[in-house]
Amino acid sequence: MPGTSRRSIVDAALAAGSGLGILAALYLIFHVVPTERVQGVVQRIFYIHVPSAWAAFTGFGLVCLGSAVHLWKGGERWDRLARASAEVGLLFCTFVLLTGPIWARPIWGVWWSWDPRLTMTVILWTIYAAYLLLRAFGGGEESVKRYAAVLGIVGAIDIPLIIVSVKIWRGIHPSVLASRGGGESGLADPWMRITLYFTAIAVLILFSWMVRIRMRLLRVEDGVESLHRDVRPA
Amino acid sequence: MKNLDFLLAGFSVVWIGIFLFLLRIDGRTRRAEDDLADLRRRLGRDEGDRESSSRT
Repeated sequence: MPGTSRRSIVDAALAAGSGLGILAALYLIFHVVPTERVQGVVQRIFYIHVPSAWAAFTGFGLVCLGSAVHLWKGGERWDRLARASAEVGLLFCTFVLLTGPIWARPIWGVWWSWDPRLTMTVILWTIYAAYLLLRAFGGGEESVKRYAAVLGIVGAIDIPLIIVSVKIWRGIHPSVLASRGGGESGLADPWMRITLYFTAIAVLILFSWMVRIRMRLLRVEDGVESLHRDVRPA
Repeated sequence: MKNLDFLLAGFSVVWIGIFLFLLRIDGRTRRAEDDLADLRRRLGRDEGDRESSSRT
């Protein structure tokens, strides 16, 4: 089937692209990029922490999109996109919440601070964990899918709040791409920016591949479940 | 190098997480394949039952 073979080619290209991209990103992070003068080697956590945050935001943005189209037009495909994106997005959001404290301990001297951005990221994680719990234990009825879709859309409101929180509220979370005074960037060396953007692209390719394989598995599982309903019990 | 252990911990968390996610996908794919094989077997048996009942 041409559709199936095209899907396989896209999957293989994404898998190869993410593998090679991540290897090149690791080379840049550990071999090319200079060590930050004040923070030392631990600053390199930023190159995985920030792209993970962008992947999480992309994931939850896709949950919002998939949920909105599912509510508007119906159709299992958009619902599967929302569910798969929520799972992968939550995984990357978990990385953000784990790598942040690992960086903060040697730099701030504490594992955690109830800074506005950190607190709202925890809220975001909780909203989409609730979304996935609803999907896992609520059953496969259309009403559950619609309730989850509303939660998926409402939860995405937190994303712009997290992005602007560093500017609006005076927390201690550092601004990565622009300094608070509007002056020079927090990443002074050009290789720091190149490494950050390159790693972000590699992580987003990895994210796309993970969402695709999760969506495909959801389609197969849905098909098996509907066949089970059709076949008489053994 | 100072704080190298924190750097390694940060990266390890991410790669272990991705590895566990892919492992879980692989497990669920195998389960789905087993389910499909079971369904095929049962559908084949149903077909056989239908054929034998139509002959009688």
